[in-house]
Amino acid sequence: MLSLLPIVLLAVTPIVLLLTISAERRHGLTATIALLGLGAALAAVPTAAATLPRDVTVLLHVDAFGLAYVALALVVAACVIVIGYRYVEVRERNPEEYYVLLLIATAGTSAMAFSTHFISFYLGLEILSVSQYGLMAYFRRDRFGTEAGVKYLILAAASAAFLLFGMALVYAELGTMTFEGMISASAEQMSSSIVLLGVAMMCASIGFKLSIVPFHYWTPDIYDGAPASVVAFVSTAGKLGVFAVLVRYFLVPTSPVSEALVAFVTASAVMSMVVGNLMALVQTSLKRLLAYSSIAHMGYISVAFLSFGEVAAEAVTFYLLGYTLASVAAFGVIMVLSTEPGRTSDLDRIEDYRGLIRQRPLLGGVLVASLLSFAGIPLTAGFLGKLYVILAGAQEGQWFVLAVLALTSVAGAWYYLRVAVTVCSAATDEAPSHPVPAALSGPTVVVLAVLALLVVVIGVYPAPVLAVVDLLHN
Amino acid sequence: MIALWIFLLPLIGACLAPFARRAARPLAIVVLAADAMALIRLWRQAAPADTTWLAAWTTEWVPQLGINFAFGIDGFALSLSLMACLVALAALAGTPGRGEEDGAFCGWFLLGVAAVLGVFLATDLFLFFVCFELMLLPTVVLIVRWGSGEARAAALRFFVYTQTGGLLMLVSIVGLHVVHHTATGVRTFDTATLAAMPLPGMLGHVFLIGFLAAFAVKLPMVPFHTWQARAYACAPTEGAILLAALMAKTAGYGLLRFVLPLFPAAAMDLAPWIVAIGILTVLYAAWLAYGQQDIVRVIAYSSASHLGYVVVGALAFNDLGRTGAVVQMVCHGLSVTGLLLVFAHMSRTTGARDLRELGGVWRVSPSLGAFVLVFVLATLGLPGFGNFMGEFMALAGLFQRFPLAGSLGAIGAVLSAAYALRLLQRTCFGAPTPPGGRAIGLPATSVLVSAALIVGLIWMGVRPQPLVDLVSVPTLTGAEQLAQGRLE
Repeated sequence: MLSLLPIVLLAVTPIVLLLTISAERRHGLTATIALLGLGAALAAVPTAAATLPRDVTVLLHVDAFGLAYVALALVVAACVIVIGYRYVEVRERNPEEYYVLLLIATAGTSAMAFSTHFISFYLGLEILSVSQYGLMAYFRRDRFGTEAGVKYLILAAASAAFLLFGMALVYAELGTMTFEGMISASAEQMSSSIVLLGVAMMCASIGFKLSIVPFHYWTPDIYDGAPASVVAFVSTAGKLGVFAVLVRYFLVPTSPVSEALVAFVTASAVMSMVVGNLMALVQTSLKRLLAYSSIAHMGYISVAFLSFGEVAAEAVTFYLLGYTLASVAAFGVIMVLSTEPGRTSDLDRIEDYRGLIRQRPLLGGVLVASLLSFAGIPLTAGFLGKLYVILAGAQEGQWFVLAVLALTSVAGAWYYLRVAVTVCSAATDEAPSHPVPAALSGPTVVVLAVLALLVVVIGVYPAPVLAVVDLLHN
Repeated sequence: MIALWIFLLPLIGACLAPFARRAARPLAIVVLAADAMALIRLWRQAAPADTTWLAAWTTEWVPQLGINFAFGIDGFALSLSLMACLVALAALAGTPGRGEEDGAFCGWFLLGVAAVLGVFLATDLFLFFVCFELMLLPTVVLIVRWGSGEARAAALRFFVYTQTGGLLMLVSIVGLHVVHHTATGVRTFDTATLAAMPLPGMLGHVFLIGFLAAFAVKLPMVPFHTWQARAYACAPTEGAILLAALMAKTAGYGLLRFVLPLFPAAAMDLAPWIVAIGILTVLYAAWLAYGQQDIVRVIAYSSASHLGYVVVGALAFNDLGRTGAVVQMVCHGLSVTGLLLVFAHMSRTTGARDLRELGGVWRVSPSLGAFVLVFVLATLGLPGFGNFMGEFMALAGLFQRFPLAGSLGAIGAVLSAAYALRLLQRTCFGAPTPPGGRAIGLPATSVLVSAALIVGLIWMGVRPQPLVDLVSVPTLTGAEQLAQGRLE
């Protein structure tokens, strides 16, 4: 019970929320309770950590590593709530259930992070996905959001069906539904065509969830259409659960590697880096640019999956940390700038951000810091993440993939810098096209500043964070 | 500790400058002067054939990966750092201020100088890479914010080129680290430790190409030079000096400091190819310089041409070639700064920097013409100036190993005379054109700065021995001895 306390608290809070909403519809109250719930769950993490590691039935395995991913997801959800408070209020007259969905989604991703069994993994994924459909389409006046929600609904449902069918095939042949059983199957069993088909279907589904080429087509549309606050959550916390399972079970040094799987990961990593970075080059919308670049980032992380052992696991965790912080910060700035009354879509064109740093030094600074981190400029968290990924790839002698990574990163650096230069250059003669929102609320400023600072501080002095990451993977 | 302070001083200056506003330029000059003084003191303390580091400082940075914050100064690093400080000082002192904007401007400029010094002083490969990349950001900002013409496009192109080279070098650095870790189980980025490790198979060649990519772009070498003329032309004068006199030197420095000691065998194998590209750079860039109409573009290509000698001198694998390369780097730093300063003044006062529009400056302002004359003569390698010593030694060293390349390289000296004299003739001689007639003499501070640069150049040309003594350091001669052993 104690080890599951964070998840339990996460599950209880939506119920409390629903009850309070039925009694009293007040945005501030709902958001506060949601934040308190997240805070309580976060506070329960140390308590849970004291009892580790521990199996909870055959379905869940709570360990320090999973708990760290859950904590990160909780922080993301809390940041999204704090930064997005005004954003949600402006966009929707009845914003209360938004928080219910957000918390349920967080619970889903947390359940995935602990899952040891196909069933718990699948249930976590569905809890997450179903809440995400709702979240994407939540703002009723925003027709692009509705469109994004429906698109995601259809594709995610199809991908879930793939996952389920793949699991069934693997079960039919191996007779096990635990990940442990799957990776300890002999090479001979793994190479049977039914298992291969099953694994391929599972790969397709996971590839969809992580938006890896060739399962990436939904990403730009969803990023573009869905509200910035939801994208901030979906692109970071929504992926953490999947990554936790992948890191825990598929980066261990002993797992027999099917050559087909390696070929698949190699191909999709290379294609994700190439497609993501090249497509991002030609975008004029900031959210679409971030969408394609997130595909590229998933490609970089996939390079770590070509390697095995501790370094690869640390690479993934550290990269995810940097990526998550920078993403939330970047989308946070978009959220804050899209809060003028009457607005039904987000501030989107890159040109809208021209001269931001002159008018809003803090927002501009946060955006530039996160862009530089995405670009992998030294002394940011993103650079160190990239270094770790290269380290993992170099260990396996993947020189070709690393050359692709280096060359495509240049394209990445180019388009991020282009945006950063736009943010820093003087506004054109016409009135600044980006609205200047009313005074920022204190908590928003603090959260954004802390996120940007973390990105830089982790990049400059990563030793303490790396010590923790080391500890998680030993 | 002094090694750390030499890096930290400009960094602190960069942080303070934005708050100093109008006083930022004097502040930056004081900071750079203090840095130069510290370096000179270190130089005077050094015994002539000192074998160890003159000063070193190490602390843990990322222990999990064996990354150290490690600085070390030997004679080689000292000579280039001192040149960098003095040239940066000259750049700030020799140009007019920018009023209220000076705070931010000097801040970025000092950050660039700090990064360059970091490159010269770092003994940890990771730290070296961070500083090498850190040079980019200030340069891009200086070009975009204070540049002219197509500044944004030029800055982005510069960024993409250097970033490509930089990332390939990063892969090589991490590759070295991983090979060492696999062999010994120890994680380190320490240059000396990694240099002592034998590399299996062709890995040395692969890694060398990664390093070379970064340096070939930075120097730049043909065919990676296409960013250069544009960036120089669009950059503000101080930015162009930062690029030409300081950052281009980091490539030559990296070649001597890292590439040759880390991959001596691979460098020996690839030397004919690299030398061929170096000679091509010397000749082709000189040819390009002759065809330009924009003064800054002439200087840009001439700088690429002259730095080609650094590459061929370094790859000669002998004492003479290496010394020539270093002397050439130091003297080119001084002479290109002088050229950029006097021509910036000329184009500022005349409102033109096109060779077709200028003319007759000598008749209007003989003093300005005289300075132009001296710097042009220094650039074309007139005996008596340091540039002559550098080129001569580099070519002589090269001739010992590659006679044909050495002979071809000598043609470069003829070409450089051609474009340099064309530059002089088109701007200074003939009847004054309307823009040329507006030229006025250099202001007092610029006269002082230019005179100091000329004194430095002549000193290097007449008595280069102190510098030669300074750069015969074991970290560099090790690779040569290995190469000589292989040749015999």
